[in-house]
Amino acid sequence: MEPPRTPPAAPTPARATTRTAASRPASPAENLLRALGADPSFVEAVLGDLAEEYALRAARDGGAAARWWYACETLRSAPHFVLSAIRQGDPRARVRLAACGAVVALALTLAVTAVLIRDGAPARLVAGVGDAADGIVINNLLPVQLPVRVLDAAGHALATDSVRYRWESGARVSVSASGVVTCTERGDAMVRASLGPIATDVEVRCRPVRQIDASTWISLVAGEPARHLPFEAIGLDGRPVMQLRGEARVLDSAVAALDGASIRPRAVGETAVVVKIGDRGARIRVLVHEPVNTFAGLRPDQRLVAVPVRLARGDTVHWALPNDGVFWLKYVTRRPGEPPPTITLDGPVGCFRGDGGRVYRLPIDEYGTYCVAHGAGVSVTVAHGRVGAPVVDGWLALERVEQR
Amino acid sequence: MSAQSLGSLELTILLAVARLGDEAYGLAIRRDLAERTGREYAVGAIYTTLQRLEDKGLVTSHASEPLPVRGGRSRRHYALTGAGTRALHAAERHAASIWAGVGTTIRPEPA
Repeated sequence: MEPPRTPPAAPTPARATTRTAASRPASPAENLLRALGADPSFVEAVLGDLAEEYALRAARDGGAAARWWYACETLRSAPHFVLSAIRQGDPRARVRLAACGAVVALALTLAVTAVLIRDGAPARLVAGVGDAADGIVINNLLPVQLPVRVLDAAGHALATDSVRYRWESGARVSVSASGVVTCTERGDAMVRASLGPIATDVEVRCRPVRQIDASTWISLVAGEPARHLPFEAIGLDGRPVMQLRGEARVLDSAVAALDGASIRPRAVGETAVVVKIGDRGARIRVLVHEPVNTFAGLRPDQRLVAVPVRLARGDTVHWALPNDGVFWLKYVTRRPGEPPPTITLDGPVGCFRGDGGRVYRLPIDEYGTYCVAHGAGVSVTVAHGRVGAPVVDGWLALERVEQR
Repeated sequence: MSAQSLGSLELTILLAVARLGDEAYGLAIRRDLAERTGREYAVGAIYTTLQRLEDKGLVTSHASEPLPVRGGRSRRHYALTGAGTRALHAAERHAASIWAGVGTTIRPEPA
């Protein structure tokens, strides 16, 4: 409501609008308040008092002070207008009042939201996208943009187009002014990122990855603990790269879940893990086997099973394999690094080392050797010699690849 | 109307109406309260309370002729009704009864 700016004139002739008892044309504010259901006599009395006091204050304190008082008093009286409207208004007026209240609430919400999400001036440059305590690690061979963020004082991310970069010291790394880095060798460099008066030094750790050496599969047993993902990143110099930035995702999280660099079995089935580091990637097949006590009497739908193997020195155990299909046979140790027992297969089998060589003992290492058994009469014998660990502990895993 | 059913602001305004007589309208009441209590009540609060007192039958009101100083609006003058007068007496008695027996050391000094 605007305060009256000129001395009020004498009552004017009637207009076709809401009128006061004294035939004075109602102001827009009065019309609004009445439309919202406020008692007309209440509105007239309050607005009249405000106008009278305003005139007095304008003469005594000046127009600015009077207007300020008027605005404050109007705000202080607003809840009483609403109260009057709620008490006196008819149902339609109450609906209008509720709509008006909703509009005011929405406007206030939008205003508060706008203030909260408003971007401020750039306040700081932050290197990396997460915990970058060890600098920015780059595993790419191809040129890559440095992940530097520009934040305002409230932490809102701003555009990074204007950030400029310059090589400062350390390994010779190609850095463009716009922050594109090309890592051609292993080494650490310091790069300065600046935006106007704001600057920060970014430690760039070049660890280019030439290839990812990964096992083509990993066999897990349901209910067993997580195991490390079987892959290794190899640098340009042929040595493993230990500082890695990348991602790994499991295609079906109902079967297995990632837990950092490990994978945990969740349910019997098959899925895959896709690993991406720098410009390189790898795909690892993940098989989760169902633990069983014996291979005898397997149902056709039991495609992935595993029997526990726990042998003391000198122990031997023997199983007949099902005769209704073709199977891959693998040994999965419970203790990584533990030498496997001696496993011998009789019958129509073929065992292969990772290099393709044919063998009859399985396995040389955990994942490098596997056997395919087909037809009836195949049996497997697992034996622990009289040397080595007191006990070998693992699983003999069976994967049905063909039903007969 | 019992004194207990009057709120603090209701009683204060009812007393102001009694004091101001023919000049009891919103702004005058507001000034009177500011002078006596040191507190500036919102104009809306004064009229909301006056409306409540009118609903209780403790005051009556009538509109004056439109006044230029009020932008052509009327003043609404208030006057005590018989029930309002009785309510004030009851409030006074009530105050006296609840103060009775309180030691002189905490009694307020007479003005």
